Amino acid sequence: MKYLKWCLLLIIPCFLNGCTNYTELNELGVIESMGIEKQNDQFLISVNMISSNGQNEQEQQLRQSYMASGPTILEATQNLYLKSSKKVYLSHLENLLISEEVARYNLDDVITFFINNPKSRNTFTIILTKDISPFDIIQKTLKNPRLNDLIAINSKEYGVSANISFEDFASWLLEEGMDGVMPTIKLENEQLEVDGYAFFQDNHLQAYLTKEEAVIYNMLKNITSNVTFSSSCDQEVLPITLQDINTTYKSKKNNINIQLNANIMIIEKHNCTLSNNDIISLLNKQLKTDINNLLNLQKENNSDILGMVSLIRENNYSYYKQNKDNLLNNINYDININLTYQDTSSIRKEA
Amino acid sequence: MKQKIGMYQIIIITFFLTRGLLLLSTTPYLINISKNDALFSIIVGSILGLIPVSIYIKINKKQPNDNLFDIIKKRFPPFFSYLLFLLLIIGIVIFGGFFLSQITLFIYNIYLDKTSLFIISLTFLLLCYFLAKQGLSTIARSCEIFFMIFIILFFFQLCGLIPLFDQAKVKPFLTGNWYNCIKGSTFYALMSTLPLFFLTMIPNNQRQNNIKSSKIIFIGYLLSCCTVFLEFLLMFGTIGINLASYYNYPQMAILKKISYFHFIERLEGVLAINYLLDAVSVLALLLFTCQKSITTICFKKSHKFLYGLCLFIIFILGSHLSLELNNLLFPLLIVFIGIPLLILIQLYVTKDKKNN
Repeated sequence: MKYLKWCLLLIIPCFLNGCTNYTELNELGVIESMGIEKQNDQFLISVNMISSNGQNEQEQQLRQSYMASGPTILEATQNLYLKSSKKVYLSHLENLLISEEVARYNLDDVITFFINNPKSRNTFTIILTKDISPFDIIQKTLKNPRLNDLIAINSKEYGVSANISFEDFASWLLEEGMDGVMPTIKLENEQLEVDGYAFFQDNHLQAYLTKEEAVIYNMLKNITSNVTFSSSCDQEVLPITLQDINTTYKSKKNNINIQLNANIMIIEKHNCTLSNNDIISLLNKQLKTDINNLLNLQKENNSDILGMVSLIRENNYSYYKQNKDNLLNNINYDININLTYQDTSSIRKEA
Repeated sequence: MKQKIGMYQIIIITFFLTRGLLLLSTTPYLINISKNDALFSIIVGSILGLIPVSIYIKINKKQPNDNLFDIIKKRFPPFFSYLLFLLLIIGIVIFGGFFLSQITLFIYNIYLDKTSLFIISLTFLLLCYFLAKQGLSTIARSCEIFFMIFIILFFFQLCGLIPLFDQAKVKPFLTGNWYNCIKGSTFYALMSTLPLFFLTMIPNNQRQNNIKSSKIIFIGYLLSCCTVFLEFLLMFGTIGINLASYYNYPQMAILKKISYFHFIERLEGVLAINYLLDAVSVLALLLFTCQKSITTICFKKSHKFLYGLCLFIIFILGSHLSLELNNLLFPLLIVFIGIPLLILIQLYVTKDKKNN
């Protein structure tokens, strides 16, 4: 019996040391970007794979793209092994690119694949490729792969787009009375360009927000705190920067109060003769119109991208339950905009 | 002289036993039953769970120096007592098999996806067997160490998840129907208290200075329910109830999101050790109960063989058969709550036998 104990003690560590699960670093293909598109009822999976070539003394990082197809996303991913000698490692996935067709008809398949995959982290950014296949973008980003940085810097400095994680997007789609948006990217003059958002209705791609609408969306969702846009004053263009944007909501039955606070800055020299208060009221009017346009777009497409129905559901469930049919079209909005002028003239004078 | 277990050790054992089944095996079930009312179900379930806990405490109070099997042997006629023994051992073995299968699948999915289920369940069972074989005091001391690790990891878990919490994802409350809410509460109460059955195997004479257990068991139980509630609250507030219901392990989905100062990330494997600590405590006490039950009912020569047989069945059930909780719930309810209730009634109805 004593020998049996010692035998067990010697055998068990062999199984516990993780040797059976061991993968050499140069056997691993870290997927940085993944593209999903559909052609002739087949899913096409394209990946941007980083692998290290340990043959030389100095290990080199290689970035290669692969493409495989299959009737399901899982099979297409497995078929990558027909071309790649590396283990497909999804844990470091940074962005997922999906084509318009997949966004329109197969979003459920994408969500199911990643949620059921225990090795996937689901914090990666999801991006829709507009008028270009994900594979082409993956080829384009082989040399300059920081696609997320492109969107992130845009979100911070301009406010047209923002990185939206797969999990947040899935959570929006699964939530009752809520629809999601996804950043889009397109090819313009052989260069990748951020192009606002695509928006969804019942897990299907519905339409696109223009850059101007995307800026308003980001302001209303508190995604960005700094946007730049132009207004017209004395028949001239007046460049305006809004800073410290903060939007709050209050709901009472089907009445929603939207309160937007921001600081205005006009950095560039202009010939506008209006006083500061007049500029504020002009901008107030313009922003109200833009916000109303976005809210009307929601109604027309029956897609609650701003989560207004969801807000009523959270705050007054009994009202929501009684009136949930066509509730989005019956919401009354009260928009209040509080803009504070931030004088930069002294800075300009010094400059 | 055998070492006795102290007050804090009983609180800690109760704490781990209560959490054992809840977070690994039953989270998706609870969310699917109660949907948005899952948090309310946890609160009501924690209160309902006090009923089975009271049954176990009353049994200990009525017959303080005996474990449950000794009480059956002394209080019931031979045929009836052997029938109860058989039912209890079958229940314990099936519970063990189910629990082992759940923890094996968890380890397989999270840590060792290339290792066979056979190897995982074997090594895990042997670890718990080793603890159980050392006796109750060793299990209690191990639980004490586990608790310290638990507190540290839980603190880091809270620090990482609180910034991600969004109260809008938890709302609205009480939106489902009452039937589902009550069903969820009952389910929670059963899942949190079934493993507490093993407390009936710790008679008062094994506790330091014959500690009055009722108060400290309630403290351990409620403390554990608080941590479970907090974990569910953070889970719903981080990924939302609907998304949580899609995951097999929603706890892992939230742990993957934790990031400290935007550069300390990917700690889910370390933070999930808490769930393994819960599992080791439950399985070690289950094997200890199994061992005690066999030594109580069998002749000394044969008990080792029967204990080995039980371990083998647990191992086979755990590594090879996928046991569904839906099918097991009723038999487990009969064994772990029905039989103790019967014993308690018997203790109240009959007078103490002489020379017991």
